Amino acid sequence: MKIAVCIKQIQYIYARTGRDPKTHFIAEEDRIRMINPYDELAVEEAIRIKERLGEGEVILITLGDLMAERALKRCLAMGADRLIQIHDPYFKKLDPWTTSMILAKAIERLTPDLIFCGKEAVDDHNGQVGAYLAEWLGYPYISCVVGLELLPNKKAMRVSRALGRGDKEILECLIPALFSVEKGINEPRYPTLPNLLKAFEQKIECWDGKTLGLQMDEIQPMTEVVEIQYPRPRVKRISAPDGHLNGFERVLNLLAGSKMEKKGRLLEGSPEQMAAEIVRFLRENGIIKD
Amino acid sequence: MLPLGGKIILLILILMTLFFFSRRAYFLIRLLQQGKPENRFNHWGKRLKYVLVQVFGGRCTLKNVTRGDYAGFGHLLLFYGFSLFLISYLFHIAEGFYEKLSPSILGHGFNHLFFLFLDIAGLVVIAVILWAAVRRYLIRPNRLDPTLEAGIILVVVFSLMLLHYLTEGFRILMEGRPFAEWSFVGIALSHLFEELGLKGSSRSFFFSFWWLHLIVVFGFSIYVLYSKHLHILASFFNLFFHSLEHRGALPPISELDKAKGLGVSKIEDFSWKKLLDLYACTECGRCTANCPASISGKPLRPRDLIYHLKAHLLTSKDGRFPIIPQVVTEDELWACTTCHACVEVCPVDIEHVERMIDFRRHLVMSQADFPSEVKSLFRNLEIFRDTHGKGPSLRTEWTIGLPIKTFRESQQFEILYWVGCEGSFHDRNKEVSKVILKTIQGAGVKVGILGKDEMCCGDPARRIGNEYLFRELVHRNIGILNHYGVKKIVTYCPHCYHTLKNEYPLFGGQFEVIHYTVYINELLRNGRLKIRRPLEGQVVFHDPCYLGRINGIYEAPREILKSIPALNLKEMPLSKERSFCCGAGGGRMWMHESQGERINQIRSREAIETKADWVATSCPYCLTMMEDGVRGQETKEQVNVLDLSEILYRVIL
Repeated sequence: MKIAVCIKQIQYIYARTGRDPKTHFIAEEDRIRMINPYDELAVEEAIRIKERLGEGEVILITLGDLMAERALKRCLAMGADRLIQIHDPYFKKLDPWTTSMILAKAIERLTPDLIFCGKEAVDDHNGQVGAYLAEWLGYPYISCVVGLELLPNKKAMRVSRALGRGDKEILECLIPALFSVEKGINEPRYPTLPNLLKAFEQKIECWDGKTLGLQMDEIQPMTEVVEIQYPRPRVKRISAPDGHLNGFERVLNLLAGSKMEKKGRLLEGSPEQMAAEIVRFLRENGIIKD
Repeated sequence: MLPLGGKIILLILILMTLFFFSRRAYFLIRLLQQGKPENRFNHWGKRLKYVLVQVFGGRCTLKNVTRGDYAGFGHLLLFYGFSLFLISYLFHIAEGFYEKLSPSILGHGFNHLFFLFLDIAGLVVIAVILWAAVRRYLIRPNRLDPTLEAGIILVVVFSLMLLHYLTEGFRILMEGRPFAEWSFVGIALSHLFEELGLKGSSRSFFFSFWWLHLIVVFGFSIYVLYSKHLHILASFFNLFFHSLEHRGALPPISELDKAKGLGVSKIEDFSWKKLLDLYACTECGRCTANCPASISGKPLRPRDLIYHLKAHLLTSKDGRFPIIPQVVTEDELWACTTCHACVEVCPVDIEHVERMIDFRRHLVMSQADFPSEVKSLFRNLEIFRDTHGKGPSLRTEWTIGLPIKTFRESQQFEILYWVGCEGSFHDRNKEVSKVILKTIQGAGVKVGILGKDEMCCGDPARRIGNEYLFRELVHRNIGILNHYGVKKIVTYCPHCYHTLKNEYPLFGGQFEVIHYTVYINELLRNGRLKIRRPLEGQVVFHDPCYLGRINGIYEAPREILKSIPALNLKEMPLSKERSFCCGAGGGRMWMHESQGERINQIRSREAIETKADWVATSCPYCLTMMEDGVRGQETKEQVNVLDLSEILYRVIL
């Protein structure tokens, strides 16, 4: 059985560290290049099916620059057989529609029995490519898959699909078919070191527009990102500035982000110790005199 | 002394003994040769000196006497007593062939003294044997098993002593006058035998005991190689070939890039020294008695593990039979916290911890088989380069509001403060890293941090067995540290300290690494930091394994606490070298603890029982574990777990 898995390389980060909206407020050095975690689940599922059947081929397809090469090869090390990168400098900004169109061309060349992809990518949360891809290929499509089983006739799959809140839907469909997988379907394996080192040596096959027989003018996005709006910075809760101050001081306080810092200090220790401390403080500040 | 026929029989006996002895010795050495090569043949002088101190100075067992384990005295007496008897057996055999070859050949004075000492030694040995038997079979301390093998040895040694006296007594009776004037037991026995009317048959008694004595000696010398008493010979070599590396610094894998030498799956994957360890084991059980995993009811028993491996080595024909899970189970090897308590007490320097890591390396790197909760740790280290999976962009979050610069901004610093993942990301430990920083800055020291450029030092990956991931982190960290020309590093976490100080040099990272307790103690000593007020209360210090037992830093933290007026420093029953692990070392921090009792509960109970107000420690893992442990106790005592620096910070403000 030939299984194709579409995997996406993403740049991921928890925090906003940069100042430039064009780079998504991520400072260049903070970018963490990795494979979309949902796609890793897809890779694992494909490998498990291959292992269960005892035969087959798992082909990974990724679109775009090699920005996370080690992470891609790590997927190979998990047990995939081939890794194909589709890349062409003529591809401009791609939307889900054009992405799926290019991927569909590649998948047509491979003629797989099953196609897997992740539910969505955690960088833009579009979640559309899988569905469009199935449309281009004319295959059945089931999203949010959490369980899979090949029926004995080997012509159809029985699939369980997460409906949310723990509900599950059981569906059956003929293969070839396309599934997008949801968390919980499996736990991706950790590659062994010999496999990892072998995968680092493996060559990535590179296909461009010509290999796929794409006409560049065919690739017309259906949607266009006009603007990205970023959330306003979270409102910082501060206590109101001291009303006794004049306006200028109050504005300064607000700009500083809070009231004047408390200068006081908490005393600790036995009562005697604390009393001695208070006396010492009063003496040092000239409030009491000997 | 003997007639010709007797001499021939004696010769045949000697040759038979030599034959069986060397056949077994050859077999044992051949088994050692299965092991991988390892260079332990350097620094002969240093090694010889070490062996003399350990074996003849008795340090190997006496080192445990300070820990309330008095068996060491008995062992030393037995060792010296029996050594004297070994010399006497040479004379014994020699005089069988030619009468004059007795101790008197070295002068009458020597003869008298020799037999005097021999008689005294015999009594001492008998006393020790009786004590040992009472201990093992009646008192039954936890660590000793009342095995048949141990019994056989006790009986044999006891009977050797008895036979010595019987032979001596009948000889004196037979010859009519003492052959050595001061052999008081022999003389007394000869009088006794005379009283019993055995004078007439003394000759036949003498010869039968003489022969019996020799036969037992010969038999015992062969039995030694078949029993745990192999340690008599093997421990000598084991101590000689002991590791000269820093304790706890794991050896790198040379052919990691070729995916070769990834830990141990079969007995032949061990180095020959690790196999020699197995011969050297005396089965004394001190390792198990001190192992936090064993004490808390985990399946790991270091003594049994060594014993099973030895049995496996001796019985497996070609050494290709996989060790895990038949000989050592996965539960056993994941239970180890790498606290080195076993290594500390082992009289014959068995390298337990490295062995556990060898197994883990095999499981993790060749099999990718490890507790599933560790997977996320590995992924975090791979992707985000820290143990918490938050990424470099959040590493400096704890510094918000603090006047601290990174090496990227300036390089005019006296020291680099290596915060570590726990100090950077864990909420409770972030407070400590702030306090340490403020304390050091308070002394006017120019200190910088790496900020985003800092990554996990690699300790957890390495202890869990992921050497590849560790090496990746090490190379990146060393690259960064060299890039900024860092010379002096002060760390918060003892694990970072150990890794940077003792393990990075093997990968080409030479830095001066200091733990903050030592550094701050130095600041206090030379007056850069002043204690301004007393702090009344009682504090007990919990020694982190990687600071104390592994790096020998016991005094610096205690000196800091003692330097605070009115503060009373208490000690737990298990402290310093005997300190009990908090349960988080060796990557256990990221594993579930589902078997047995929780180690941190045991330790916190011990801390609470000292009735101290504060439990101080100086390790982020220990802090987390002890805090959790104290919270889990049903107790009315109010105990606060603090980092040492937090206590100090209260009095230097």
